[in-house]
Amino acid sequence: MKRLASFAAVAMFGAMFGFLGAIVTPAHGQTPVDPKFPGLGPAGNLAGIAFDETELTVLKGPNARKQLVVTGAFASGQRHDLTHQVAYQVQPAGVVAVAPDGFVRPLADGQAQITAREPGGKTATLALTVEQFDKPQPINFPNEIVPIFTKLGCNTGGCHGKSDGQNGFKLSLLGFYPNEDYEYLVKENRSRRIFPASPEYSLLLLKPSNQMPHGGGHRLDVDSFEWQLITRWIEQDTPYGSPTDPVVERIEVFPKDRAMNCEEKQQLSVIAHYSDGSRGDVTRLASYESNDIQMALSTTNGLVTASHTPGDVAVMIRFQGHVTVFRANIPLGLPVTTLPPARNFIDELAFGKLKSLGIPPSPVCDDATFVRRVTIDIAGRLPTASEARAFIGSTDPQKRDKLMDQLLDSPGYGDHFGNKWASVLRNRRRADADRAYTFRFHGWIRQAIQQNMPYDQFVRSILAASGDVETNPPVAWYKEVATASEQMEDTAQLFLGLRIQCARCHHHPFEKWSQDDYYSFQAFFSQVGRKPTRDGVANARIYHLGGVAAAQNPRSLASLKPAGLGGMPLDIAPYDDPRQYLVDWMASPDNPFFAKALVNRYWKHFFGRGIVDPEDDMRVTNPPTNPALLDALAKHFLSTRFDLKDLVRTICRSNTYQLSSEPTEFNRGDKLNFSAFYPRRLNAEPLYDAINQVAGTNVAFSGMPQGTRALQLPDNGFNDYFLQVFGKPEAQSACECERSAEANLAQSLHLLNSTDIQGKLSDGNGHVAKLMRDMEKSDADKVEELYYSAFARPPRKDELELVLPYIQAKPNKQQALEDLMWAMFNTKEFLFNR
Amino acid sequence: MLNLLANRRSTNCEGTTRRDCLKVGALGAGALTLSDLLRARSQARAAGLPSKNTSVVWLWLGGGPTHVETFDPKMTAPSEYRSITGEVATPLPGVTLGGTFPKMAAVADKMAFVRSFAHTNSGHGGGTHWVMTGYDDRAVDNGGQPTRPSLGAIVSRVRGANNPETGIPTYVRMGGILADGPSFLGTAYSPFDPAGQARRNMALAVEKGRLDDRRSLLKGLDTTNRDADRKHVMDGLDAFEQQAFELVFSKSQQAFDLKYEDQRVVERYGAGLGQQLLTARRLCEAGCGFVTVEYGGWDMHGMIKQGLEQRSPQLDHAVSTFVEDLHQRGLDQDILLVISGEFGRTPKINGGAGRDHWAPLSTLALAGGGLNMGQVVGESAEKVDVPKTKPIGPQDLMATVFQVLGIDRRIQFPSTAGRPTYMIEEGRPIEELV
Repeated sequence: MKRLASFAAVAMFGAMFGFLGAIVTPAHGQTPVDPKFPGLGPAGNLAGIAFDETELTVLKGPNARKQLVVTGAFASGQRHDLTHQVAYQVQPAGVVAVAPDGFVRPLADGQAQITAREPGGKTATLALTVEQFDKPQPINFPNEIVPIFTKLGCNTGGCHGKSDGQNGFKLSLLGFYPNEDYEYLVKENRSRRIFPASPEYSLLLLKPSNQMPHGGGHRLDVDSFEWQLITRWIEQDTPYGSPTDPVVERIEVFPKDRAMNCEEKQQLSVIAHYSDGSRGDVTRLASYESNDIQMALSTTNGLVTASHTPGDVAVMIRFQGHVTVFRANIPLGLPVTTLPPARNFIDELAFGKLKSLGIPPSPVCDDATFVRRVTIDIAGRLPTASEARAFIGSTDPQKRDKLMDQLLDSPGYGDHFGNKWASVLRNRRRADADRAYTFRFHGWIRQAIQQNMPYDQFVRSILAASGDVETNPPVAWYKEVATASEQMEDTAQLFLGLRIQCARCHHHPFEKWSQDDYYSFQAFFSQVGRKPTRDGVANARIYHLGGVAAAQNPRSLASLKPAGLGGMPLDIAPYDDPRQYLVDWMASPDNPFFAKALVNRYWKHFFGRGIVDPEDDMRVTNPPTNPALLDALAKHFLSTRFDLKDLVRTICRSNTYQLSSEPTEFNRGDKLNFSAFYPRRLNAEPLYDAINQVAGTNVAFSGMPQGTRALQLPDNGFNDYFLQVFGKPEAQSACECERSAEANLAQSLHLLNSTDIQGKLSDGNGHVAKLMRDMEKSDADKVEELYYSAFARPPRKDELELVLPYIQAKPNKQQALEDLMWAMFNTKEFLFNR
Repeated sequence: MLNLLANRRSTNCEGTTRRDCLKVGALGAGALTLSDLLRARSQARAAGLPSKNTSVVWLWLGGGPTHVETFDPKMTAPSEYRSITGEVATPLPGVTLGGTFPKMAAVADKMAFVRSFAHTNSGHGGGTHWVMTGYDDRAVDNGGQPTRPSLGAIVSRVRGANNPETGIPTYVRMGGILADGPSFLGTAYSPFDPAGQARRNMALAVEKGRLDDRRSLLKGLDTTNRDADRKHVMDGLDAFEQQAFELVFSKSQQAFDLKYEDQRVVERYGAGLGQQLLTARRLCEAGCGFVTVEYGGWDMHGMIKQGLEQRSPQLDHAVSTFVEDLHQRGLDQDILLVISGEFGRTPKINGGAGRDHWAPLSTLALAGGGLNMGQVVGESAEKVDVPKTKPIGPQDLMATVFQVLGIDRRIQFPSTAGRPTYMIEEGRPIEELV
């Protein structure tokens, strides 16, 4: 709470808008606002006010509405929303009515001037014309009625929008198929839902207004705007609209972006552009959704409130099949004076962002922290005590860069990233016999990574694989990812960062992807054939069928040629394998997704959070926290011809990666902009390996050679309690989110009190036993050795003062050292990469 | 350390020969026996104070149990609406239950049946979210993550994740239920799942004195700045560490194990659900505040009669045994049993001889908890489709449960955005029960 309140520059805000009268009171229990966080800083005097959207000047028919947005321009250059603070006057009266929140409705034909006046007397004016008020326009079903169902939540996936509808009544999901909705409503079930003789007794109105029992409860007020619209539509004999009626081509939001203070509110207005060139205000018909409710909240009327977390936030606005985004920038606003030197373009862009948000970063971390951090992140293991000693002791100014190179050349790199890729490539053992696939596929992945196969070639080898697993292991991907739809969905999610699954059954709710896009993309996999291997294993040999690649849209029944997402349909000769064309499209320098998806995935590996997060859900409505950085990384990756090791090196060399995790007074609240290293718990496999490495023990994994580490396990099939309870994934999906880093009581019980861990501490050949046999080392030396092993650093004085007396007081020294190692395993310093 | 849940046949504890002799392993402090705990409860009640040691067993009939064939057979309704399994008489005049629940009917005087329980989300995800947390969330119907803490997680947050005297987790689950998690309260208030290795890890791996020493050493060495972790996983680990110690140091873990129970009682409860409810009772006795038991299979879109004949007997037997047992042990004032699911089912039998999702009248029965039993609360309309009387919603159930547990229903916790958030906004305890 304290932390959040510290960002609440509410006092500043109140002072700035003294005339607003209402200073937002800090929530109960919060400490007073710390004036050190200025947000946008003093706004200065109000220079003038203006309407944001001025192009829509005609309200046609009685149903037309308009949401005004009034913005104040201040001496500092800041702009703030005053829509709800100004007073509205209309001249002449009687043409339109303006509510205090700036919502305009027509009253009679004519022209009128609306004047907005702020308390200091500054004004802005807007002329509006009302036409055809007495001549109701024929209601257009797709443009006016269907959005009501979306707005009221009738056609969501949990309700009538799910594939078989709800209690016998179905609507298309989020109204993407108005023609189907029309059928369901007007014609299905002997037209029982519409009662033309007496529209208000139609089921369509009685149910959602709860005048008749309705599973979804009360959704619609009698006589509300929506209720009246539906009533009039029924009175007009339920027109669909003619084919020549204008359709919505796009929607536009005003304003598009705004720098805001914490707790500040912003009214939006949303304009639909129709195919005939006309415009209509759909602010109250559109739906709003913030991509991070910790940062901003939105209401159904298009009012956005910024919260207490600095950074960038997006509010998605949806109307019919169209989406647009309002972006808010919420700065902390502190001076950023002491930045570490920029070591490459990453630092320039990441630090640039911190400057613009006013978030001072933590300093660069020390050598001990760095050697442990980078060894875990690149090689998935702890540095040994001697590695840590040597690194810290080295005076080579290039030692950090050199260490990265050594780690990239070490087998740990292949182990770590091989394990990462094997999981999302779904290298899954379901039965013992599957080992023939999973072991080979894992071996191939590991080697490709270790030898630094260019990423496009890596992807091509998998997606365009043919033959059998003995001669070409990547065909194993086709075993687990068995159908064309899974293949294309995994391809989109894993390699393009796009979750396109939704578009299998309906238009994607948050994106431009239609079913045509989905099936055109799936068509690339339409010529994947399977036949028995020479040894007679059924379906295990992948080959190119040699037909014409195509897939059918199950709704329109159209046969679609292969096309990349957003790309043109391709004519591919039957003798060419379409999958090669797919990878050509993916790896082309113009591809907007491929390089970005990978650099973002790797960024998340090293920073614990993607520039777009989740890393495989890149869409307009889930924007990157630092777009320039993402673009630059992708460009760099392309320029190196998809060199993965170079990418790792580039990331690790940046001072952004090398920042300390220790928060400062100022960046404690930042969790989006990489102003410090964000600590994260070690994953299951590296954690288990770390415990065994420090304890000097091995785990026997069934069927694997002695000494195999958890990170080297080729697949999921090893049924180990530790790995399971700490969240090793089962390779069931292409999503990294399958790996859980959640803490739970079972983990703590296991670390604190299991015979498994105790057995390692007291192992006769373990580290403690060896130290006991060492007659040369003093107790202090032994403690130091353990500290280097576990934490890659020597013990501090205060630690020695605690530990040495503990050991000396114990009659059994072996047990005392076991106790020390036990305590180390349970510290956050050990459990986290920080 | 004292013996906890010792085998009753070999122990005579303060003359209570027919009771479990539950000696509670207190952490450092003086030990309380179960009877001490119970005495403290009754004294609190006598003083009009909320009794802090009450517990709730939350029996979840996943899939959406029919409200008609369970607790509201309505044989006066038209034939396509009324109970397809008929009805069975109870000791309560004029009150019947569905035909497949004869044993529950026999203990109906110790139960209460709510026939006006209703909400409006007839999707499995959102409906479950609503009854489990008190809030509707339509995004959950579409695979969204739960956005509100479950009742059990709130109890855990209020009482602490472990009972301070016994170390038993405050919130235990037997079988996961959607939205049973802590949401913004933080992972420390997640339900404890006692399956498998986790149970074995409760038995001391080294002698107690040594673990004590280790713990104090750890306290001195674990000095990482928790503020560095913006995701607050470190705070969660600290809380779990605390819980783990409490569990290991006390013998309360035996509460999880039915081999410490009188085997005649084990037999009486029967297999499956019976064993789970018996374990739930033992956990509550040992200081657990909220136990969920999942008994699914109620999404009976077709052939509902056959479905009920298959699913009912175990439920009927286990619940009636549990209710009797509470009374025999004098626990009926301290342990509340709640039986519900995400929604009821369509009042009219469909073409497949089943019933579909129907939240406007849902299923709810309660037993014990010191509430007024032996009654029907509310009334359904003629066609068992909606409440005829004032609807009772999930938040009203929540407020009732809070009252039993002695939790102020106006309690607030900060959301992830730091805003103080009411756990209950509208709900009021069900008048007839409290």
